[in-house]
Amino acid sequence: MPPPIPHASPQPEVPSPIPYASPQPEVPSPSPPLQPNFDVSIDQNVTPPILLETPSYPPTGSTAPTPDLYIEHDYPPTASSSDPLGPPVGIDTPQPHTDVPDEHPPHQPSPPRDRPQRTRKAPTCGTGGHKIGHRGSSMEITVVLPISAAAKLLFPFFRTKLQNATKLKKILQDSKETVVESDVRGCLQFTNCSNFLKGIANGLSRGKKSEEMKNLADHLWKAKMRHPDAFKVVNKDIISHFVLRLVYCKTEDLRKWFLSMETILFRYQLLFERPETQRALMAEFNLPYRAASNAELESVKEGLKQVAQSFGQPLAGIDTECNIYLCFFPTPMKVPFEEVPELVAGGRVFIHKGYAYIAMNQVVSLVATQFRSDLSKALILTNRKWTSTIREQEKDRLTPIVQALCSSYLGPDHSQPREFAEISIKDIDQIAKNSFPLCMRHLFEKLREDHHLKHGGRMQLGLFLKGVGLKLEDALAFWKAEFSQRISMVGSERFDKEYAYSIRHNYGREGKRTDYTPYSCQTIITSAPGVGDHHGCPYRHFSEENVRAALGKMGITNRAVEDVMDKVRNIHYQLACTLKFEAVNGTSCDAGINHPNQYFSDSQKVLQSKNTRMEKPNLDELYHVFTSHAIKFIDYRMMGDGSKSESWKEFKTSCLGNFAKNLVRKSLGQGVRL
Amino acid sequence: MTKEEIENGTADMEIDQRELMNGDRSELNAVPDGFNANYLKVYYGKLFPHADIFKWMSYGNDGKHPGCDESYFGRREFSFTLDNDIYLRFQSFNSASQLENSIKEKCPFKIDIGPVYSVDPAKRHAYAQSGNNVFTPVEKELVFDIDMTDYDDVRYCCSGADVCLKCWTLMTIAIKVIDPALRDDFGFNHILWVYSGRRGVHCWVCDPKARRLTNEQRSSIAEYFRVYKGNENSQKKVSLTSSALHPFLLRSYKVLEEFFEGNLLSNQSLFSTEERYEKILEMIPDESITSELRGKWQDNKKSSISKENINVDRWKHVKKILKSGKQKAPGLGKCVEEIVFSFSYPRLDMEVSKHMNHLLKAPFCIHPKTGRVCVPIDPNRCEEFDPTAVPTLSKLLEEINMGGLGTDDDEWDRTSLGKSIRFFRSSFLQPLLKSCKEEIENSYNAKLQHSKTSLTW
Repeated sequence: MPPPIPHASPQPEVPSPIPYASPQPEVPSPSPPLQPNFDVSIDQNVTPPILLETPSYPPTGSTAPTPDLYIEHDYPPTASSSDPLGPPVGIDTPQPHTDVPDEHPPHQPSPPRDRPQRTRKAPTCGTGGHKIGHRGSSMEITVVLPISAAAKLLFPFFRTKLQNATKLKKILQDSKETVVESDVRGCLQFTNCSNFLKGIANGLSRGKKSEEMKNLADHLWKAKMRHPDAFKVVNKDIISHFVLRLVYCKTEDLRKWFLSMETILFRYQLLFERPETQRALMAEFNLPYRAASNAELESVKEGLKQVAQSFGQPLAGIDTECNIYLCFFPTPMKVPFEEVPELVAGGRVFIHKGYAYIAMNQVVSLVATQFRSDLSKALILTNRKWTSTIREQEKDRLTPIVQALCSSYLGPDHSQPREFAEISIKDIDQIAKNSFPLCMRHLFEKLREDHHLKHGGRMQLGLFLKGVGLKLEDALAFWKAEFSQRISMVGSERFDKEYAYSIRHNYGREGKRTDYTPYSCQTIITSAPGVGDHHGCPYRHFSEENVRAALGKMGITNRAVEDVMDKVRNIHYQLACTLKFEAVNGTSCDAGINHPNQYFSDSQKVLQSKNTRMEKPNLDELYHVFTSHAIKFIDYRMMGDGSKSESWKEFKTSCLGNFAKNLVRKSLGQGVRL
Repeated sequence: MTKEEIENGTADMEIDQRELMNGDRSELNAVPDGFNANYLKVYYGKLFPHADIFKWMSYGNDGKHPGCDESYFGRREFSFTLDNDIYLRFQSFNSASQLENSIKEKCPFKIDIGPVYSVDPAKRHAYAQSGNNVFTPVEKELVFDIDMTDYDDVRYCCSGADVCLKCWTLMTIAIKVIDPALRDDFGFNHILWVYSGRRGVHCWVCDPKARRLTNEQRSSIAEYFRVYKGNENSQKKVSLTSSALHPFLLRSYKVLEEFFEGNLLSNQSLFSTEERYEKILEMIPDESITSELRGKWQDNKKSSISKENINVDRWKHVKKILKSGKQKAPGLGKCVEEIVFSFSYPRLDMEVSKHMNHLLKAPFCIHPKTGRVCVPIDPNRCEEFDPTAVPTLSKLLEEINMGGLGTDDDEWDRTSLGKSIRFFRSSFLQPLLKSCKEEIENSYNAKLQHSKTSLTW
């Protein structure tokens, strides 16, 4: 048991943050014999699966399987910094948990209130950092976790995924206490985490490739979640994760979004780990997969080779064909293809007779799938629990916070037209010309031209128009007028029968009576228009000539067109759209374009009063400003500009500060002093 | 069924809206002289294989084995489209006779099959009141829907809802690409291909594993098959980025190439006119090559090359120049494959496959526009399938009339539908039920074993 390295700094000791707690922080009760291999904390989790649960991660540090957590941050070089490249250290072999206790120095560095709760994200911020190489950037924190620690950190996270819903309450109380103790900070951290996820979503919608995403995740992580104290980072991550669960468990859509973002986050966190760590993790989860036997390998060798050759992209950093090929050989795992949907979808794996043969460096996918399905179940459970009992029980404490977060953080969904309450059919052409983003303008023109749109186009345009303020009656009249011009195809009777229904359906007047929300840029960018379809994001789905032609038709100058095309080529579709907005409206659009209806309302604002720009920023706008700044900042840094720390500071003070304050004010009511 | 239920019907509807929409295009040609409710009544009364559908959808849970789940069939959603487009969703039946009686009574123009839910879909409202969201789909065959209208940019013989033997080749190719992949790659065994009644094919994958796939897993399979990514506003429909093809695509390419060169080239006359070959030249991102080819072909126009060979010859030119290896731009070699994929690779309706709660028309329905029966297609002999020779409702009725009075039970056997029903039973249903029984038996034994061992504790 290699005792954790020289941990100079006190902070590393995340695990045993039990300052006041029992002097004997460690493992409260020696792990039951049942699971000798696991960390004490794990055992506890298994029974009472809740992370935040006090008992399990008793302030008595048992929980924190992080004995070997090293922090390095350049800033105030604490003692720990001495060993910045903790990595070597980090790689200690996993130690039986029982040992953990011994390692804890008696002193408890971390502030009392922090509980070491769930650890899952810790690894990310930790190891990830140093791999990516943030050389030279000050202010960054590198937490280096030894393998065993990383594995242990992740393990309870999985295991404890709210398998047992009855424990939820405890979690809540627990997290609540934290929130109460440091309400302001508490709220801020949720914000940050939420923004972190949004940043990821943003990156995705820009069509970033995996390598870029990896960097993005790392940078965002540091931007949003950083804190000089690694223990707090872990803690923050844990708490915010669970609070966000509450926020995002409400509806199917929210769950879906949260699920995919958290899964992405998880994946990148895991990716930052070394293969050995990943493998160790897998072993700990006891995933029932085995390496393919030699005979099996022999029979699928040819296929494996072809798959390896078909990787245009290097696989986990190995770039020559030969190496990729070799990397199958140590031990390709044979798993049911259902377990690795993303590898299947991407054609990145060889499948034979229902089994996928995956390279060792693809196991991340396997674990992430597991994570996703656990989290998915937990979210549904959380929602059920929340609505049935907890909301009521927590009505004086957590509920207001969750609700405030719900309303302020999800961003506007544009389901209700806001400022410009109504538009009428007669104005629609003018409005389309002035204020529609390219995607909608294109659909609109195609509709006028062909008097028909296929389903995807009808949905995208129809919901957008609803968000813009077209009332149901007008919408029916509008679509009918168009469709019935194509008499051979759509007689008026036919329209009433088939299309009217779905229009009313969109307005929540039929069927399930859900008031559907207009599509966001992300939805549109990730849609897949097929033959005969005109929907989708022009910047993403059109060929270059067609984008050019469309822009030219709108009278955009050649120069601006080139700028837009430049963004398109770099797959920054939303930035392309933003530039187009700026070119058309002659003003800058700081927030960037995230939603066609936002484009519309921003454009209308510009038109209505060029002079009176929004006097008092509201939260939505702040949010947009915030994310766009963050993204710009990250883009900027990724390009390797030297002046990063300056701009970061500036960004932080100018933007983050106000934003956070507003947010907290809104969340907690005016009574809060900041 | 109350009015409200009817409305609710379309509630979470994942019904194929495209189907409805494309309906617009059905020019007048399709309606056979004789599709009407009365004919349909006779069909449901004498020919429709109710019992086979019931056996299939029960998957061995027929109450005969102590290990079977008797509620299984009753949790399956059926939905009926009645005359006048009245749509009844969430129908469920507890027995073969209930199913049969309801079909005979309502005489639906179309029967769709939905998922098996966690609870009886007809009683979903009662469960909804308990507050917990227990009404959720739990099983559904993995289905694929391939529709000829999605190929309109690569077929010149017909368009929209029309099909002929020339373009039907595209469906044959689709079966020949998808079917082996489902079997060899994904390891599925119980696969049913069905003619959709007008211009496409449906595929039902019925292995237990397939029925239990999550939406995400379904998506991943659909994505695995998705190569074609074009839309109206981009020229390049297929993009093969990597340097080598994935083994599945490599295998598929052999099929595609054979049909493309041996059939589509000349049957669709892909290079016969300037407009057509320009479409192909657009896919080659190298000006010098395209102008060289263009020049060659324009000169050739008046020369004596026979019409039949013109497509084949010009394709040879393309191949020769692209594969010669002289070009500087890397990736040009891929162009040949890209062209072949663009013109022949199956185009799946992704949404149908991705979601468990998407409904799909039941086999052996009659397509109301063509009057044709949705008969199974033998994937091993799909080249021989001729959509224009599929029995129609009126033809079947004629055959019944000619047959005179027979025993009611197997009247179908004497009509041209007999062949299809026999094929359905012998190639699909029997092997399926056999393996279902085995599965039930095994899990039952395992359970017994388990309870025994736990008793000894």
